[in-house]
Amino acid sequence: MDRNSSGRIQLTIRRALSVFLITFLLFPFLFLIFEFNQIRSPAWGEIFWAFKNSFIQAFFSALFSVSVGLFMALGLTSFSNREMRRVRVLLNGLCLAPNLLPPLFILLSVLNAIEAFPMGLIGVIFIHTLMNAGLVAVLMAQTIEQKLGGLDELSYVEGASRRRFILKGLLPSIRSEILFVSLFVFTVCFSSFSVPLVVGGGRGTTLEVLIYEKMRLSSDWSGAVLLALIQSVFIFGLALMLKKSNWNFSQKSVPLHLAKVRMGILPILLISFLFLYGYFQGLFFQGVGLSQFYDLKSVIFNSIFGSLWISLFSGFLVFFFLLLIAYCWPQRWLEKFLNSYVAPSTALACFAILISSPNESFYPFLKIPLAFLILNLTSLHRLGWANQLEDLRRQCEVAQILGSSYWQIFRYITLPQVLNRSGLLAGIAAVWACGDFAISRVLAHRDVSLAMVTDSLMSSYRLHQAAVLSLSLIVISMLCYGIILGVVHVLRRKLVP
Amino acid sequence: MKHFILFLSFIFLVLFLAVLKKNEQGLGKNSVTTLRIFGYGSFTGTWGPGPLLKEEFEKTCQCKVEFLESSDSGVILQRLRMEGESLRIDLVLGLDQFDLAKAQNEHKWRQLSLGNLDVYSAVKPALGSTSFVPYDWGPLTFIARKGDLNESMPKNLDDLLSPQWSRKIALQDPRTSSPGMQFLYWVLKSKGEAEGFQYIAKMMSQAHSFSPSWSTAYGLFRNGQAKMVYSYMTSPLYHEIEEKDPSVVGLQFEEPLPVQFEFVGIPEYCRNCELAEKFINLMLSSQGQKMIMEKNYMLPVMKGVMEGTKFEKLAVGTYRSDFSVPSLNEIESLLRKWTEIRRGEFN
Repeated sequence: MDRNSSGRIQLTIRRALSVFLITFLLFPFLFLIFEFNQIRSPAWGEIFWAFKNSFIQAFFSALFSVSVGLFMALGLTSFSNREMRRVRVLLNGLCLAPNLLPPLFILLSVLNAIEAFPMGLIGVIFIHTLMNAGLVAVLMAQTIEQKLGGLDELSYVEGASRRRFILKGLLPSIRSEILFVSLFVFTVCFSSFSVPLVVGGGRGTTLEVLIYEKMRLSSDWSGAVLLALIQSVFIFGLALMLKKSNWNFSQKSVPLHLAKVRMGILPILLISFLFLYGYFQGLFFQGVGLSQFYDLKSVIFNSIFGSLWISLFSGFLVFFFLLLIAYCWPQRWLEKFLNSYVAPSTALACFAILISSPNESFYPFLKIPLAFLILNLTSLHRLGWANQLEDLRRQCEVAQILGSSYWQIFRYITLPQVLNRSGLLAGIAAVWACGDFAISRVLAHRDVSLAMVTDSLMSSYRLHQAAVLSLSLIVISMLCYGIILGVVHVLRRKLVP
Repeated sequence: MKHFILFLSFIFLVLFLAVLKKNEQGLGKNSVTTLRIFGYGSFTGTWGPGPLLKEEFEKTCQCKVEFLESSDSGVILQRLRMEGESLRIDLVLGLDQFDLAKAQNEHKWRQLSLGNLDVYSAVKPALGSTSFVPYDWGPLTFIARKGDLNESMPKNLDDLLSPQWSRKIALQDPRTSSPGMQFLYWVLKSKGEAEGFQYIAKMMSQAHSFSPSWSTAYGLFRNGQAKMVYSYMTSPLYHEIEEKDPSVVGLQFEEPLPVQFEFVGIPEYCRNCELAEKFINLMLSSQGQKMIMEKNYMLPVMKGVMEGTKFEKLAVGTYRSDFSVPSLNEIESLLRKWTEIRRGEFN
């Protein structure tokens, strides 16, 4: 086979894989539109009002989450040297903790800690910031460490002040990352359900609540699909407007001098205090002790395998699909799609997956991770994958001009440089999947994971037992996070020359 | 590298088999008739009455009982509508009176022949349907701690508007929660629609929040953020029996309390219809009713079950004796008005 025909075959494979990827992600919409294609004229006034509420909450939540998250990231980068590694791991854990638990625990913890909690818009923004700032911090810290080492060192040697470096060097350099992370937080908060209802007051009616109401009360599926489409099209348009930066940086992490602000760990500690104080006060100071672990041991044991499976399988699916994107990249139309597409609401997507094929036997154990993948892949892509790939564009273009095949580019240029980030994102996905019960509740016929058991306990008066069980949820999700990072570490050692 | 991938695949295979084995335990094999029951998690789960009923039924039926769980009755009906016969359901439980109109509109149900049921007088109005039978019931009211009621005990709905309770009452959103809908309906039935909505408007500033579910609202109460929560009159019994905490009480109101009934029915396309009816008989037997009462913390429908238990001593007060199944249009119209009122509120 000559070089040209081999290239053509690889090109066809890449295109076929790209089409598969897009069809796979669009599946819930395609299926639902096919199933419920008779759309009645909706109540536009109600939709506009809900849309306005969703937008305002999501906009300010994203603004505050990213601002606080960036400051926290500068705190994290103060602990990037080898001696401080353990402190950094602990701080990362504290940052990611609010992502692990059901929103109810976060709500109760914060309400426990703050006597006069501000209800309404401020309350929603506050809780959303608390939930998302840590994740933003972990991702931005990694970006700063990987991308700004050289610039930091140069500015330090040239005698630039820290303030000047942050304002003139750091922020412009990671502008596209900030925009993409902002879009990610915006998307998450735009489709938030429990938080606006509990603390949002009259503005608690969001598009997500309307979707749920249409499905549950009116059985108006076509209306629900229309609302989900409006939601997705809006975010699609918003994402299309984001421009990428053309900066290229060294991927090598070097010690930072200016891109670190020790004070940045204060919000981490403050948020952790708010969260942990409320959590442990609810857990231990209200008549529930560790003895309850003993009572729950059989339940924990029975659901542990389900949680491990869902978490690890979801994490590895995310890992492979991120690499699939990397293999198919760069293609303009695929990039635009992945940067802009938002999956429909969880309930809608899960119902589409539920009714599309059998639900007996082992199917739920395959469907739950697949549903998780469909719902979260593009978010994770925007969260830290798109920019990672963007940084490699010039190298890939040069390699292509020099005659490298697509496979060679992927195997020897892209893969070695993106493995770490794919591991981090897959680890985050595993943590989310471990704590999820919304997807599993629709797709599984019985409690198959610790998160589902926690949810069941909360629905039958046993809130404190649920809190006890949630501790084991944290342990399992951290274990899965560690396993995925470990596997990726081994893969890196074996694959990278 | 190959070895590493083989090792990973092996680990995943073992984990998958372990999960599958755990999942398949207790499920009917092909050779054994399987009765499939669709219900909500807190009934069919480990702490609910489902596992006890299953164990008792399997002793005599020469069959297996398999529970299929869903988060709430709304989702149960959606799934029945979308998956229909392919779900192979023989029995559906957990529907309340707000679900019945939808259930009857969207599905066909088998006529039940359960004979004369010796039920409590409170339950008789709910026996009107030939396709559904109630298996438990419970009045709903506000639950509080004795210590928080020192100053004054609310005796009627208007007392809840006192400044003392401002932002201290945990309520549920009627659009997403059945107890939330029960509260709305109670107020409108007690005060009439016009005055009722005026009252609802005033209650907006009294509410700590309108939670999406009963569990969230109850969590706010348990953690002390709210001094009162709208829940079941039987809720204090859970604290008394399971936690030895007698400080939680259900309030009596001058307005008769609303009552929630939970119904069970057999879909027309059932495969093991006789077994399904036998299971309903078990649910309505003294033994089954006792299991439901003790695990689900709801009152039994059949006479003679509560006697000699703490449930008998529970002062349920006066409750509404009229039973109605609101139509879908009525529910939608009420919710639209509720949403309009809710729009401008801060809490």
